[in-house]
Amino acid sequence: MKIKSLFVIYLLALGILTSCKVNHVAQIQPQRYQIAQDSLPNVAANAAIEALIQPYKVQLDAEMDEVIGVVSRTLVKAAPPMGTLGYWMSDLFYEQINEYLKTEIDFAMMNSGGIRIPTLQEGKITKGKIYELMPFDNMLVVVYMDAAAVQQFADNMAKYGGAPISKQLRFEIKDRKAQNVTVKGQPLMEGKMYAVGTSDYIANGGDAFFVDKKNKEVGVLMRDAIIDYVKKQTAQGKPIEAQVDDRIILLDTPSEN
Amino acid sequence: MQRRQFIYNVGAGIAFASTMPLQLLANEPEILQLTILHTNDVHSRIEPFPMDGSRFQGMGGAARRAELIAQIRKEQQQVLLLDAGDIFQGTPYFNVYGGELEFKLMTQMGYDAATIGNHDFDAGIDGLEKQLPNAKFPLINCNYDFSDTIMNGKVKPYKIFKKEQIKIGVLGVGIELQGLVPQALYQNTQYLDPVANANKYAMLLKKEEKCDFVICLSHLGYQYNGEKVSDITLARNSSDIDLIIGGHTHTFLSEPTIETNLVGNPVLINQVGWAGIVLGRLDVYFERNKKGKCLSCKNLTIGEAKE
Repeated sequence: MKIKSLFVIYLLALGILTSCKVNHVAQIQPQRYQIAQDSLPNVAANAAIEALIQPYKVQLDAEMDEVIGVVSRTLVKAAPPMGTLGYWMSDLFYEQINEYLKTEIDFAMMNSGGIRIPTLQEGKITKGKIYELMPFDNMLVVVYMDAAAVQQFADNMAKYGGAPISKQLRFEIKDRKAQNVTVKGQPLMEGKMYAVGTSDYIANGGDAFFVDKKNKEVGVLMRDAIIDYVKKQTAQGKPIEAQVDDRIILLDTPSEN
Repeated sequence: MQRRQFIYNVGAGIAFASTMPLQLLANEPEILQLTILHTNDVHSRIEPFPMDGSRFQGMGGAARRAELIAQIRKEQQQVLLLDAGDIFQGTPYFNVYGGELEFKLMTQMGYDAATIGNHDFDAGIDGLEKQLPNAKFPLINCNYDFSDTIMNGKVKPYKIFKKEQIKIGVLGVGIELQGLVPQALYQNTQYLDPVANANKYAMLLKKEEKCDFVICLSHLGYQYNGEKVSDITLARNSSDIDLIIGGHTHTFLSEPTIETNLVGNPVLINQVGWAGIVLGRLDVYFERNKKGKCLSCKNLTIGEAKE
């Protein structure tokens, strides 16, 4: 009891003595830990956290293993005119944007850098495969551009030796320029505004494609659009397929960019 | 201007945590230690990166991070665990569960606060609001006006933490959403000037609330070419912020950046990449002494980084 009250007096005294004190920042010591087994050999995975993750992981793996469609012939990521995977994707983005927005855009284009697997193999495709194809969370957008901007846009694609475009847009590449550009079979028209479906990445200036800044968000991830399309085809009993075609014609060998 | 010595132990393992930069002698004033642990842009990276030959294979993962944090907590009395946003999006865990597991894991690890990144709106503002019950830590932001949204009243501009005798103010700022996030997702969230609002609340925390240390959790991004406001801009145009824990640009800083603020004081900026590959740690040592008197602050300069 006596010791206790002495202690209280001591605490009170300490309180009075320290009450006018402030905490000055004296030093700051930074440090960083790389989370990996090699760099932290004495830090194992926390069992409680693993137990929390486990049921989610089991269900997720099952979902990613879901077969959503069938590819009739292997689609490949390649430069035009062989890039059936890119053409297939741009064609489906064209169709899906029209469906989501209940509109009729003019054509669609994506960057080949957004395609993250070299082939979509013949046979069954799982939802997880679409995540591998498109792990980035790019959104679909519609960009509005006039005839001159479409020409410039096609010229920029020509510099890359072409790009994955939907079949409504056609052009020839000569001297790294686009010529005879047509949209839905018509030459580019002065005064017309073209509605172009693409990714938010391209719309924001990615890969240095010039585009007008006026755009409309579709509000759908490109990956989700692919999954929606594949499921729709499957529901209609159709396989996934794409052919090599002449939407982009190379009149000379493009120089390396 | 009071210059401070910063001692770097870059790349040091957990063993370094016991190395005290201040040697205490019997007649020297009391030194208090605060350990700040931080992440940013974890992007739903719940499991380590798969072993597929990619750059970050085997790195990250909530389970190992949690164990590391638990070990640090055993050694350190006063720990503050913070995140600078973009908790969501990046693996199918988010697409399938909407952020539920991310928040539950952070809760179990004992996160004290997080700010909101642009990708945290990816399931819509409704999707974010729906997951709030799984986060037993506050989401902090002072430059998004949520009053005309479902999040109204659910995000606070700042939070004050008392760690024994140390009083810490934590505020949060977010990036402009227009052009970055579809409006259908963020709805009527109004973006307000991050610098003006951060300064307003930092002043309140420092001057009125008498916080010893003011931390700004920022999802503005580290630095940009051009006019876009960044952590560097914020640091240079601030007066009462001591530390900015940044995100958005996925910048792996090997050591914190030191900028000078409007009144000539140093501001630290730190950011640890993304995906939970790195856990950042800052041990802040406070000398408890009379106002204007600090023995261990005296004659100190900002030192060269020690590798």
